[in-house]
Order: sequence, then structure tokens, then C-alpha cells
Amino acid sequence: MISRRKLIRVSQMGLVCLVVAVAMGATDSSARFDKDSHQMMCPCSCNQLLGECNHVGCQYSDKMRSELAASIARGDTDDAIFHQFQDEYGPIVLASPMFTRFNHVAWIVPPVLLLLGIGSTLLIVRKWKLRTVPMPAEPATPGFSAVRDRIRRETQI
Amino acid sequence: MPEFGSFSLLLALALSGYTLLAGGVALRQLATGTRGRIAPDRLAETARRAGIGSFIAVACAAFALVYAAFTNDFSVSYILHHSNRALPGAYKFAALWSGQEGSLLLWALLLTGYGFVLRVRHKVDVTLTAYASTILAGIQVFFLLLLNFAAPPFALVEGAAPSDGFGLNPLLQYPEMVIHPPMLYLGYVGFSVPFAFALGALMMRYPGEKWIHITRRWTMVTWLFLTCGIFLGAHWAYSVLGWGGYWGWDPVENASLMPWLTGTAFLHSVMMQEKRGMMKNWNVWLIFSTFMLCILGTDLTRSGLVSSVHAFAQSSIGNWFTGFLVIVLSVCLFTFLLQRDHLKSEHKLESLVSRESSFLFNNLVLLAACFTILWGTLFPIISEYVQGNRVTVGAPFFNRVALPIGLFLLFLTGIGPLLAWRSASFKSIRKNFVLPGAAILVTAIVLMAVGLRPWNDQATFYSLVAFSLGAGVITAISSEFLRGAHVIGKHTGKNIFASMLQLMRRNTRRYGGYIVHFGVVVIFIGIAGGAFNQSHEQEMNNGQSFTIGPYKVVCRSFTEDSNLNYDTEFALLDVYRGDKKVTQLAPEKRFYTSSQQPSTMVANHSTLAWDLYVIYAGKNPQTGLPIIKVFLNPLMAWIWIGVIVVVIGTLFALAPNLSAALASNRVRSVAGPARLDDQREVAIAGRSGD
Repeated sequence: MISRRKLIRVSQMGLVCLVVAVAMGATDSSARFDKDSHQMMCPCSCNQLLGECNHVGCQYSDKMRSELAASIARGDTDDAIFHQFQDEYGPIVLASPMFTRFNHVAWIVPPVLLLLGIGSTLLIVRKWKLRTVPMPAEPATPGFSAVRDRIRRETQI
Repeated sequence: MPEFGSFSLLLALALSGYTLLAGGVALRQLATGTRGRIAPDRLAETARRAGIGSFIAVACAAFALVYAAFTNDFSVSYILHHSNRALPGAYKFAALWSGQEGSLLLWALLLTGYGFVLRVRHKVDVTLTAYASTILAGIQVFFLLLLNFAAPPFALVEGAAPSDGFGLNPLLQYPEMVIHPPMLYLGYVGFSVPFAFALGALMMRYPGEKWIHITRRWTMVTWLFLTCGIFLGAHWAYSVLGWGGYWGWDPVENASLMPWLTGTAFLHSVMMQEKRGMMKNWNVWLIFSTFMLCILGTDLTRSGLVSSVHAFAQSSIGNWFTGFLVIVLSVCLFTFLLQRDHLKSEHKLESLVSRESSFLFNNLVLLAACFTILWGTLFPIISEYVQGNRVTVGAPFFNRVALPIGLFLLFLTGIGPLLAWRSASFKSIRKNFVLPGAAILVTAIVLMAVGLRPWNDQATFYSLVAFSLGAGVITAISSEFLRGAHVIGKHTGKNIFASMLQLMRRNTRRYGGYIVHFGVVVIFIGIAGGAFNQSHEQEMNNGQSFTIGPYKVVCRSFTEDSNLNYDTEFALLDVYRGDKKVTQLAPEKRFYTSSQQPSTMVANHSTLAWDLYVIYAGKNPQTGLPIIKVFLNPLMAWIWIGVIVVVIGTLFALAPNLSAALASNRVRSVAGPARLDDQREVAIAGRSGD
């Protein structure tokens, strides 16, 4: 049977998780506009993010920003907004690949390779370590050990 | 003059071709012991002199192009498209690297220039230099073939020469553009030299690690140039492009970062070869990869394979670079397979917790960062091939994938120097890590206490991690300095600063490296400040104002002006902090007459805490009032200060060590033979743990 103390601890943790989750999701519309406009590109070939396109008289950015503001005001989800823009302006309008089919590869490959690299390195080091022949003891040099010990002592903080 | 330039380029090609052929024949004869009509050493000497001559010929061609720019010779197509009469002198000089053909000529000039230095200093090691010189000549031949046949800079316009040119791209008319491209090219091209030495050493089965000692300075100087080039480019983007940022993960930016990352990995792992005779295969491939990434980056951005804002650099010469890349890779692979038994390690890793392992992980993370950037740059092409449509891989992708890798690297920067060579004991780890670990924790807690909420968004979380890790790394570096200085001070009686200076001079490479690490931390802190950027945009009439952060911005006036080169609109803005006026800013929008293109001139008030970055976005056509956009970018100055620290650290690491022997002699003459043990101790304290 779960003790009362444990129950309280679990409830506290649950409450903390809830607060964190709510805090993470709680964003006002201007913050959402800022975030979403930095997830899309301006298609005027300036190669800048929609939120950063600063071209005077740009035929796209002002119109797109108005559309984005309207979508957020309507209460559309981020996914719906990105799909709507993608349909209207083509897939290049998204500043990074969406998590769909082949696009997953773009996101997965770098971390997987890093993890594989770290794993392989650990294995190689372990293999080398097992193979290493113990070094013979250094020939005794008069006074050297004492000097070395003194250095070690004095360089300690 | 165009004829003189063309002839110089043709002569340079002939001389480089001779250096390659004669050098190759001489080295073959030396290797096999055969002998032709001319003795191989004399043949090699003629090749060396021809190589020196090729630099003079390319320098003449570069002079001819600059001369054509200054004399407004618009019969030369390149000058017509990249200069005009009203262009200021400095930018006429910069026209040399403002377009495809000119920048290739600059590449050839720097390459032959590096070759010139190498060939003049051939007595360092005559045979190895002969190999390196011949390999460099092969690279020269490629670039000179390009310049003579694919992208000639002295091509003439058809018919009568126009009276004026089309002008320089307005984005390039900025003081940093006079220095940024040469720096970047010095870096790119410079990696040819360690590459040539590495390949040459492998070809001739060079005994020992002397080739690494010879190339160490070349590599560090090259790395320094590339670092300066990259950050000057970032500063230029920040000051000219007017979007409030400095790094957009554009393919051209990525192309410069990739060889920088592998070059950094090489500079670290090469120490393992010097100290322990390890990682020889790895090092050879690191320097091969660095050189090939320089070529690949150029290929990607000039072929038009990936889209870039640096569209002025695109052309159809991509196939040439692809072909060259295939040849380089084949030669490297063939030589490696033939000579790989020469690269056996003398030692193996003995412990996972050692300086060697930290270098290994540091290399791994640097290569992972390089691969991520390459992958992100190439993914649009792969996607088009697989899915039939091109996707964009921009800043959000790189920020999400590369930032954690960068922070892991920052973490390794801190722990690496604290580990001993061969194997670190648990006791020493516990002892060395207590202070940095405490600094990380305290910083994180303090930052959260003053209002940083890492759970609010990803950017704040990364910032908190960067600030905390930065504090840990700075503590680790400081404790290394203090520990050594404490020992020196105890034996010499000098104060802590004098002891620290002496310590650093005893092992410039090690302590220069620490200064570089410190600079990297400062850069990371500057980057982390980006999470708290603010911006505001407003149409402003005379006397109107708004507040952003601690500043109040008041519009005093707005007006127009013009000169021969451009028309300009600008606003005069007074900036107040409290009631005190701190500065007046004048953001501008220029319209260049010749090129008929607009350009933004940002006005920036920079302090250690933040940059007040003001853009004149244009006029509202309905009201005729200027639209002012303002960014408040925290800690931006730290990035540029960090770069200066990195430069200082690298220069310090390049300086020769204060000879321990000389110091010992001096102390002996003062203190007498009884203090010999102390002198040894001090000398060891300065050297240990390098």
C-alpha cells in the first residue's frame, strides 16, 4: 500500500509537471506571431526569414505577415498555419523541413550519427584499453620521485 | 593592359605546369634512384624556381586587373560589370574579388603567394618541401586552367567600350568588404599548404613527426585567417544586411564554417601525434578533408547547386570544381592505401578518462557539427532527388540541431585541459572538477533567481546552459593559470601577475590555447544573449519617440541627399537613457545610381550590455514618413570581443617559447647550484600537461 507521504510527493511532482507544461504552452499571440514568422521564409528570394525580411516594397512579406496574424487571431494551430502557407507558396516557404515522411531523415541523421560516433569511440577505447600491455616501471632516477611528489603537492589547490 | 594580364596568366600556367611535371619527374627519380640527362636535384631546383616565377606572373595579372579598375578600362568585361567611374578608390581595389573571375584570380594569387614563401624557405627540409611544392603546383595548374579557359578575368566587351561601368554591388560597398574576402581566401587557400605537406610526407613515407612541426605554424596562421574572415563576414552581415542578425546559415556561410571545424579538429588532434605518436591516420584524413571541404564549399556555392544570397558568385564552373574534387580524393585515397602501413600508431589509448580521450571526443563533436552543417546544406538537393520537391533548410533547423552540439563542445572545452595525459585518477578528477562544477551550478541558480526561466522557451534554456557552462570553463581555465603561477611565484618570489606572465611565456602554445578557449567562451556568451533580443518598428514624424529597453529614441528630423555614387534618405534620431542624451544615430537608405540597387546603412550604438541597432526601413508612400525599425540586441559586443581574444590567443600560441634552458642558466648564475632542483621543478610546472 502506498504511504500517505509518498502520495503527497507524487501529487507535488504532478503539480510541478502541470505548472511547467502550462507555462511552456502559455504564449500570447504576439509571441506566437514572432515564433511562427521565424519558422517561415520570405519567398521574394532574399533568403531571409519572414519575420526578418526588411525589403522596402517586398511583394510578399507584408502580405504574408498579415495572413499569419489573421490565422493566429482565428485560433488556427501552428500545424494548420504551416500547411496553409505551404499550399499557397510551396514547400520552400517553411524554413525547416516539417516532420513528414522523408523529411524525418533530415532531423534524425545528425544526432544518430553523433550517438553512433560516441558509441563507437567508447567501444574502440575499451578495446584498445583491454589490449594495452602494461608499461614496465620507469628506471629509478635518484631524486626524481621526490621532485615529482613535491610538484604534485605544490600544484594542488 | 588586358593583353598583359592575359599573357601573365598564360605564363603562370606554363610555369606551374613545368613545376608540376619537372618536380614530379625529379621526385620520381629520387625515389627510385634512376637518373635522366639532368640530375634530379638540379631538375627539382628548376621546378622550384619556376614555381617562384609563377607567383610573379600571377601578381602581374592581378596588378593588371587592379590597374584596369583604377583607369576605368571598361573594355574589360569584368571591370565593366564590377566598377564605375564614381566608385571610391578602395572599392575599385576591392573589385578584384567582387566577382567570379576576380575572386578566382585572388585565389590563384594567394595560392602562388603561399607557394612562393614555401619555395623560398625550402631549406627547412629540401625533399619534403619539393614534394609539397609539386603538389601545390598541381593545385595552381587547376586554378590557372580555370582562369585561362573557364573564367578569364580579361575578357573584352564586344564592340565599343561603354563610357561608364555598371558599378559594384551596393552590399559590397562597405569598409569590411575590403578586408573580409582576402582574409577568408587566405584561410581557404592556406589549408593547401598543410594539405600539400601531409600528402607529400605520406608519399615519401616521411620518418617521424617533423612534418607536423613544419606545418603547425602554417595551419595555425591559416586557421587564424579563416577565423577572422568568418567573423568579419558575420560583422559585415550584421552591419549591412540590416536584419538585426549576423549569421543566417546561408550556404556560403556554411561553406566557410565546415573547413574551420575540421581545421580546429586537426589543430587539437595533431597534439596527440606529436606527444604520443597516435591518430596518424585520423590526422592525415582531417587535413585532407579540410582541404577538400574548401573545394567542396566553393563548388556548392559557385555552381548554383544550392541557392544562396551570395548569388553574384554563381556560375557554370561547378563541373570544374567537381572534377578537381574527384581527382584530389582519388589521389589522397590512392596514396593512403599505398602507404597506410607508415601511419601505424605508436601508442593506444589507455583510459577513457584522459587528455587523449577528451581530444578524441572533441574531434568527434567537431566532425559531427561539420557533418550536420554539410547535411543541412545538401538536404534540399537530396530532398529534390528523393521527393521531387526542394525543401528549405534554414536557421530553425541549424539552431535546433547544431546548438546542442555546440554546447557539448563548450563543455568539452572546459573539461579537456583538466584531464591528465594517458590516464586521470578519480582523485584528481574530483579535485579538478569541484570548482568548475560549483561555478556551473551557482551560475545556473543565480540566473534563475534573477529571472531567467529556462522552461519558458528553448532559446532561454540554451542561454542558461551556455552561461553556466561558460562560467565553468572560465573557472577551469583560471584555475589552470593560477595553479601554475602559484608554483612559479613560490620559487621566484614574483607576484601573481608576473608569475602568470612567466608561466605563459614558458609554454606559449598551451597558454595561448587557453586564451583561445577563453575567447570561445566569450563568443558563446555573446551568442547566448541573442535569446533576449527585442525589436520595435514605428513610423516616425519629427519629435515623435518610443522606448525600447532602457533607451528612448526621439526623431529629430529626416531628409534626403545625393552624390555622384548614390542618393540617400536618412533620419536623425536622438537616443536618451533616462534624461541623459547618450548619442545621435543616423540610419540611412541608399540608392546606388549605377547599379540601380538600394542598400541599408545601419546605425548602431554598441555597449557591453547591448546594441541599439537602428534601421531606416524606408518611407511610407502614403504619409511620406520614415519607418524606423530598432533592435535591442543584448551582449552582442561580446561576440566581437571574443574574436579579438581568440586572435590574441592564437598570436600568443604562435610566439616561440621562452627558452627554459636560458631561464635556468639565468637563475643558476644568480642563485648558484644549490637551487637546481627548484629550477627543474619550475621548468616542469611550466611544461607539464601540455
